[in-house]
Amino acid sequence: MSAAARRAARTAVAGQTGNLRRALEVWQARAGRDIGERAYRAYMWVLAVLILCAPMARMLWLGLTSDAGIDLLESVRSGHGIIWGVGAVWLAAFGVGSLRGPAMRPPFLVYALGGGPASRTQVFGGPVVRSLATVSGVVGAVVLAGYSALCAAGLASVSEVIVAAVAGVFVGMIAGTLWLAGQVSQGWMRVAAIAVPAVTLVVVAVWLRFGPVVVTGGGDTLSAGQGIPKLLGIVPVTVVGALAALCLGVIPVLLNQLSLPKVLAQSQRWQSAVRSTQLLDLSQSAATYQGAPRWFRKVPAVSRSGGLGLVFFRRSAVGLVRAPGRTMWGLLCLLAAAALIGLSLSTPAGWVVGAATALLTFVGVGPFTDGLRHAASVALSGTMYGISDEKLVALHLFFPLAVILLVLGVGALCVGLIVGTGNPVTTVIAAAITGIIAVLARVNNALKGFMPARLYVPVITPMGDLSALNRVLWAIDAVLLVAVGGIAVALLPTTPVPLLAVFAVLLLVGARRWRAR
Amino acid sequence: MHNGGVISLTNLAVTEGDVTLLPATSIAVPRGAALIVRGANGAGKSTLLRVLAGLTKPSSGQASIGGAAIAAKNATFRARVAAMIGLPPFAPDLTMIDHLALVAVTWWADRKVAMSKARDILGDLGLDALGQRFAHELSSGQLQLFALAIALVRPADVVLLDEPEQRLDPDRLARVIAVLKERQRTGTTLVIATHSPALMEAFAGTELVLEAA
Repeated sequence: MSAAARRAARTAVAGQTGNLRRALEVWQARAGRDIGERAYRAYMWVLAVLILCAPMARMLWLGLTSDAGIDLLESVRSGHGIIWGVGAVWLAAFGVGSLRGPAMRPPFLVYALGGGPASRTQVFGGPVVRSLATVSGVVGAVVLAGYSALCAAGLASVSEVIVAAVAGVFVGMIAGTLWLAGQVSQGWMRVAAIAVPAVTLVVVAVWLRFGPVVVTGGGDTLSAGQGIPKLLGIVPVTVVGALAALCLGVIPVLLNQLSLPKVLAQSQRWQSAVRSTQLLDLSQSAATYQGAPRWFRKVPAVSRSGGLGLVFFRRSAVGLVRAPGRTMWGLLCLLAAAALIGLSLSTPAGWVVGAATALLTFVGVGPFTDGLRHAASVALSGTMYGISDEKLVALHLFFPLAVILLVLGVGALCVGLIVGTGNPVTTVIAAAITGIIAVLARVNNALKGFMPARLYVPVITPMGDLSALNRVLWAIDAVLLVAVGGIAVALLPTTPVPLLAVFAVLLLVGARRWRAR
Repeated sequence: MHNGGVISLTNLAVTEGDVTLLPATSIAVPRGAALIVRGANGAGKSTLLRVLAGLTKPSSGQASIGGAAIAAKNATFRARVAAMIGLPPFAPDLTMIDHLALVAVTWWADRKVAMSKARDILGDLGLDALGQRFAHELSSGQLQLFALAIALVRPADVVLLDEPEQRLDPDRLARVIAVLKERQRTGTTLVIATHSPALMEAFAGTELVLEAA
């Protein structure tokens, strides 16, 4: 290309960038917020940071620097926790990209700008850079917090903290790029890209458990006698840094591979989910991202013989295989929960792991409880089936409960045997209890119906109107109960009282909603 | 109370605070008849149907179906009354034929009869080619027909339908009318809230006109 042609191309790109900027300015100006409104929003943000974020950050710091927190951080650092964590973050980033990638603008802008002369890099470069910075910042901050706590306890030097934070930022940059790669990927490529690393992680786990492990990050980085890689050696951090730099170079290539209809569909779904969330309809918000059933439509879901129990068992099983992606996602979450259950019972700060385990289980049981939620909706709305609402729910309960308990129980047992965490019998019992709590919470949630009008009545207190807090609590009550249930399961070896209380609350809330339906 | 009808309403009214959702209404509908409920938007047509289906409690007056009080949780009442008031909650993981078959097997003890009822209603409503589609793959008109099929695949003495003509083209509406006529011929009592001249003409006879309060 001649110098003149290059100059012309540069001028054209600059012109398109200018047009794009002007278009975005018009879009941003449409809200027409005056200075008072902007000041009020800034005030609200400052208040939110001071009232919500600052105490939470303080609580987190106190938790991290407590004896239990330091023990947990130390066990993560000295074990394979960091490798697992990084692997999970990268895998999750790729997976999330297929649902909601970082190259995202409102649907109108995707349609209007994406269809114009500007390149994908110009149109989506800004959001991608912001997303990448956010992910890198968050991962870096998490690592910084953990290592700072270790530093405060005298278990890490300041230079280690800095290197760890930098490594965290690099890991975040790679995660951000994988997020974009997930958005670009399609079909079998996506399945392979998730399945291969997932299988590799499992193989590595087995190998680390039973194989002769001598993996090091550099000549001087082997932790004596443990065979565990020291991850903050110069070589590993340099390798991760080089990978991050490579990722930055790959981003424009990935951006130009983006499919506009796919981005538009993602953007529309995202907007719909955000609107539902703003209305505190979290179930609808989650449903926006549920994979629609498409497969095995010719396989009859209703058997031509057998009792009603068999009919509904088959109906649930066939329903499950019709959305295999969603089912796999549910299975992965349940297996991840199964892997964590043993840890929640054996780690000093097990209650945190217990809460995370229960939340993962709650997410994982979602695809298995579609029929159950349908039964609850029917019970709320009138007569459809020729059996009582109680029988309808019970018939829809059998299959998901059996599968969930099987996956969680067997998963927890296998992981317990491979990794060697805790007593296998206790682990399996804890897994079963966690599964039952998650299913009960799903049923309760499905029986919720519309938000009661009384929650809109102002609750006047010296701190202002707290009715919004009531509404938020109502919207997330299932999640809260499940998290508390997970903590109670983790405390089970010490005391059964919290668990009994959680079951009592779940049953009371369920019974009340059932009567009120 | 008005006696002699399978449906009997005496001064039935529904109010919410100062707002009248259904003005005081009395009527008796004989077995096998078709009651057309007319009225402007907000006159109380859907509220009346919801009361008859046991989904809304009346503020005053009395209502009975088959001589018994309306009780949505009562097994006998549920077996007697089928309703389509808005779109029902469809199971997202079932195709149309699966869904209808599942509903049918809970109503009909004989599995063969249940399966044939499911296939028949799909055919009668012109949906047989779409039997293996999921609810999310249907147009709004097809969803309306699917909802009607779910209400009609089961046995019932009384069928309550709220604006069944919604989103339907004239050909589909003619099919719906034919199916409803057949149900009426076999002794089912129909209560149809509608704005459709075609439905009003097809089931002319007993009519209830509600005036907005």
